[in-house]
Amino acid sequence: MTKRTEGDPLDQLSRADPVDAHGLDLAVLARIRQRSRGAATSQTEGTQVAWKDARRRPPALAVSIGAVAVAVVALLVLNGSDRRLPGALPEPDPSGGPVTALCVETYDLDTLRDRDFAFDGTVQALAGDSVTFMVNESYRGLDSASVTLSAVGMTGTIITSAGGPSISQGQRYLIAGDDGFAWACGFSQPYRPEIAARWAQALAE
Amino acid sequence: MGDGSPRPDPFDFDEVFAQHARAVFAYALRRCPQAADAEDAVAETFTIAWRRFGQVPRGEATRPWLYGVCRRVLSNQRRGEVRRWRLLDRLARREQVPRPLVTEDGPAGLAIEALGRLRGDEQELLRLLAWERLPHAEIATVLGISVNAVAIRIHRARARFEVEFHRESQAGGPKGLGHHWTSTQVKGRVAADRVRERPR
Repeated sequence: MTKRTEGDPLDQLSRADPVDAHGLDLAVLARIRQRSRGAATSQTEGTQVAWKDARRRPPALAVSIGAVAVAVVALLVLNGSDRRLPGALPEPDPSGGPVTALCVETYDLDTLRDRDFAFDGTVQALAGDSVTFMVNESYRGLDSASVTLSAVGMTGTIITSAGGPSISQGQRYLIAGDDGFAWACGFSQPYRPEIAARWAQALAE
Repeated sequence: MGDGSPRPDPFDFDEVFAQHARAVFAYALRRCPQAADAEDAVAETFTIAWRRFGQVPRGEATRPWLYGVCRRVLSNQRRGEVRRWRLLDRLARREQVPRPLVTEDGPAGLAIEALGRLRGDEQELLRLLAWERLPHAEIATVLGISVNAVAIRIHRARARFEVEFHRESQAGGPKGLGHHWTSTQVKGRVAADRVRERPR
């Protein structure tokens, strides 16, 4: 059976929000506030750990788990097993997985070769995060005289701690990216002839 | 105080708590199989905020900063849980961990199912977008990446999500795969009484 779906899938995801924030109990929030202030003003980390573990499980169970853990660690040391049993949780992935790098990819000539487009261009127009470039030379992926790209984080509309150049009207840049996005972190940079020559060589290979 | 910051004025702390605790608790609940774990994570998040009160950014930057702290707290919490359960599993040879369940019908269920088929980092980007409703710059703060990277990754994640959503739609809907929420959370949302009861 094929189900009929309507609208933007992201809207459907919004509707599937598993939490009704407005329905949360104020008493629970008050308890959290008291816990936070109590823990913060306690003198040692050990005090917090002891309190937290005591709340989470009965002492006897905690002792049992500790004993089990010691035994299993010993077993693992002996046999080096890393087999996952049915029902075990997946690898740690609490809230995002490996989103750790500041940039999408590290810039070098090898990763530059993976981009959909790369060119030498001069800024004709800026509108929010959209930048229209006059293409001086296309190294890859463009066959038009101008192109409009999203250059989020490089146009001054958002304060950003890292990324690319601060793109200005009339200035010349080397730009590379995918899917209509100019990538920061070296994939976009002010034009320099020696770098342009390297791009041209790398992308011609 | 953990970082040498002066002790915050309790009234200042209470103001920050009053403005953001509900949102941070909702953030944690959306990412925890157990409400008690979410409560622990939020308590620890605001403990850190208290200790580092001088470093807490003010204004619009406060909430994404708190989300970012809570994210790291949850990450540590989950690692501990995984280690604990894995050790117990290996010794006892039992299935102790809650099994993934998704039982909601309709487009929302399809969306949950499709989300569960993405990589963890893609899931988190879309959760922050769809559930916390954060702009790109604030998502960048939560995740500690550049706003340029956020824009690019969201673009890719949305594209993959739409493919999975339509694939699920063609296949006939949710089958209860690949997600850690309980059916209670997905079908009925996290209700106030469930949080109030404290299941453990």
